[in-house]
Amino acid sequence: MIENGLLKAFMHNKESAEYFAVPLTGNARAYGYEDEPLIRMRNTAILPGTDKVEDMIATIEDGYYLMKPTNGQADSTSEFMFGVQMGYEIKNGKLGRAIHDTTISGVAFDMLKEVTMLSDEMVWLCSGMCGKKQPMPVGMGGPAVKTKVFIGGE
Amino acid sequence: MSEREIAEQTLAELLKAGFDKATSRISKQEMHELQSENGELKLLRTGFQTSLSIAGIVDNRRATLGINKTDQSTVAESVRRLKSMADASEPDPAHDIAAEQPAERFKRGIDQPDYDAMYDRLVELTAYVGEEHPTVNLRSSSVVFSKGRSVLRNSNGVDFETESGSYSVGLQFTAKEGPDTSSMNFTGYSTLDLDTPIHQTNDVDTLLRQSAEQVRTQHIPAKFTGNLVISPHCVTTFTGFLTGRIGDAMISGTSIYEGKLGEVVASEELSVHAMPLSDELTTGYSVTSDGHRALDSTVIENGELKTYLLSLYGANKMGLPRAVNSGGCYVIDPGEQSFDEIIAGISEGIYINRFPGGRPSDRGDFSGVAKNSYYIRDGKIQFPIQETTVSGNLADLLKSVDGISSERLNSGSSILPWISVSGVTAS
Repeated sequence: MIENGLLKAFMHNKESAEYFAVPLTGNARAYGYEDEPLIRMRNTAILPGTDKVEDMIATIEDGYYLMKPTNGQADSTSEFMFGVQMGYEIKNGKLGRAIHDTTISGVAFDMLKEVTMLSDEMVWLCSGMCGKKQPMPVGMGGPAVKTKVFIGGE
Repeated sequence: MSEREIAEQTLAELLKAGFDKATSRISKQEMHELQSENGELKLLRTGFQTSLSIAGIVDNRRATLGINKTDQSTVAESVRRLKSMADASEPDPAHDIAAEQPAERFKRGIDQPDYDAMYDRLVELTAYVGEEHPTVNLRSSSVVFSKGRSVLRNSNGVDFETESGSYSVGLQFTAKEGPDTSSMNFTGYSTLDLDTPIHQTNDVDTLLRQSAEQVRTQHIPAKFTGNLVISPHCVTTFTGFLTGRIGDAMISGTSIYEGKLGEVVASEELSVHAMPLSDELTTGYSVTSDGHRALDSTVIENGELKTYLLSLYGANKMGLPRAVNSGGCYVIDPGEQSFDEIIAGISEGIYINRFPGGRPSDRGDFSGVAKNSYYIRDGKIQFPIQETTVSGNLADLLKSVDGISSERLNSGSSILPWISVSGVTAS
């Protein structure tokens, strides 16, 4: 969908693919036998880069290493948020104290443009659910990503 | 075979298989949905579903199973599997089934959908939005008629039959002007009739108008700690912290409300009731999930915690009384100020309509993004906001209520006012 930072494709069902006169992408999915197929994500991944996580942390003077997400939501404005269940402060290139549960948010297109490093190892999470009228299991994967987001909390 | 015969024969099979105690519940559901996408009618469907839930306890070992076939061989095989599952489970003396109660038949709502009314209301909504809110894109709107009938039998002699039918209406929408888009919003309600236009129900017209306004948003001037005025559309997101931690979740020992029965846990202005039997609510229920006749209850009265929401299992596990209902159907008492008077009394705050937030910690610390929301300054709603995080502590927030509106919204599943709380950080 994105190649070297360039948006290459959209997700479609048969109807929208015909409307935009593009090839089918196979994104129409339904949860139950009685549900109507909706355009949904399947298994979505960011491909790994060449950096080591330790090197990425070492480049950060004041930041956070966020390790485990909880629930999240994306918006038509491209704003997103999701909860963070586990993470650490980064101070002067080193991991510091563990942080309380928090929330991160931002504008997806802005955040993706701020990516400066990608680790060379990726992890798949196969327990996600996409919520849009019906629930839908989705897979997501990726490396550690160095970027800028807004971290909520007092 | 009738539902009653299936429930009774299944119960007999369970006892014959060696269970000490057993429950069988058969439900038949019917759904009729008319749906519109982007202002165009796209879907009419009817669905039927049968489900048979069986549960058995033997030597304090319990198992449950749900199937969607009711022929004799499937039921017999499922009972065999259930016994095998129970035999393999850990014993727990807290497992039990509902005690004998007088047999009753409960009926709520309506029997049949009115297709003409479903069609007319959706077409009328599309036309109304096109005329009055031309920048709003009604991405999806639907009217669904659902009805269900169930028979519950258990080996203590419980015999309940329930029937219910109602409409639910749902909308999802955004506004668009040139390249600018509002945050998506959605709402829904349940009703027994379609006599009232959709845009005149459950504040729908206000939400559509707000969507058009929210195409152009601003950042708040600076981080501040002030008031949060919570609309009825997201009140239960905040009160849910308490109601979600006074039920069987207390068994884990991490609820801050354990041992707080009879104590003040919220502002004295706040009274919350769970009213599954209320005639004002469309989506009530007559029987609890563990097979007891449901009753209405007061959960918080003037800030004081009056009951936990423990199931029979939770009550046995905690050594506390069982709640008289399964929660939900929440009704919050109105206050004396109007919504406008509440806003007029606020020097700085956020008026929040939707709150996607991270899961709060056990202590109640929360943070999330204020969506479809507004900045309040000097007693006036100033402008719709963007990228604004609100955070605080939910337990403290419930104690900081300083305004409850006299107006309330009835969504069919709850009756809720606008609530103002203080001490919330916006950044």
